[in-house]
Amino acid sequence: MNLERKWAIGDTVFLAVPELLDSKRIAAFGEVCGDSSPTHLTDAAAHAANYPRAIAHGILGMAFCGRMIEQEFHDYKLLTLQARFVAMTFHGDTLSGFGTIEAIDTETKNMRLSLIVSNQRETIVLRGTATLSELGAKGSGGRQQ
Amino acid sequence: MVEIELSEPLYRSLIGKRYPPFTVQISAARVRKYAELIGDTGRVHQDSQAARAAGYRDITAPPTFGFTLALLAGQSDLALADLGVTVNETLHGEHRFDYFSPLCAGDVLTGCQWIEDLKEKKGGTLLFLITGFELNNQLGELALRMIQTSIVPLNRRAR
Repeated sequence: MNLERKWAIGDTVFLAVPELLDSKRIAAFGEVCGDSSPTHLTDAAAHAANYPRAIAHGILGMAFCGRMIEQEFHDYKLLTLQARFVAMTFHGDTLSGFGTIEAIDTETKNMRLSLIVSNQRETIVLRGTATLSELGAKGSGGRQQ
Repeated sequence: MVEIELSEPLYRSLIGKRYPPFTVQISAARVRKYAELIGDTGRVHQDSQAARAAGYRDITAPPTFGFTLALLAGQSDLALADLGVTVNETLHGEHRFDYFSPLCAGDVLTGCQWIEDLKEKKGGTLLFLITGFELNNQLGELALRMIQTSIVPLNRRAR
């Protein structure tokens, strides 16, 4: 958490720890988010849908990015979060990720980040972007609108 | 791989289609569980008092929770059904969230879904279905807009 930090273009933040996508976590996530697709649960169902084995939810990698942004940019409000799921994630994968500040608007102080999430084989599984506005900055609207 | 007869006229007839509005309520228990599963220990996602002290109505949903609301409201397969495809035959290709107002436990949201675009890529072997969602809260505020891209692998029949 960086309460007082002044950010600059090129600064990078990381997921605090690699995130293991074990079967128990994937099943529980599917239950809580209402995604009952069996392709997330068993290899047999995944094979039937032409996937090599049971796949994890792509949105999980994005959720880790959202968490990282909230934790690192405590004085900022998330305006947009976007991700392309460029490779599948599977049971047993371990995801790591980081975000890099690509631009800071000199007037509004809004920031744009690029986001990358990779698996344990260093294959990129997610590429994304986020935009943030500084809390209290003109037009940011504060936390509660 | 989907064996279906898809064509430009079908795409054109579906682009812009809006589905009936839906209502979904945010459960505090579900927000806490979701936050726990993604490793988000932020107190505003767990503790109502902490969330209120931070200026929220109640505990707030993590940034990607809006997708869950669409799933819970049974919205994930409506547009796919119009193409004769099931959700198991698709990949989640891309997702974008635009945030306007926080999603808080207890909120009752009214949503709508529409087909933003349909386009083939990679020589007609993939169909990209782009759907949009908006969620308005009980105060009448636009809370969230989402744009989702679902990818359908096609086994094209001769036209």
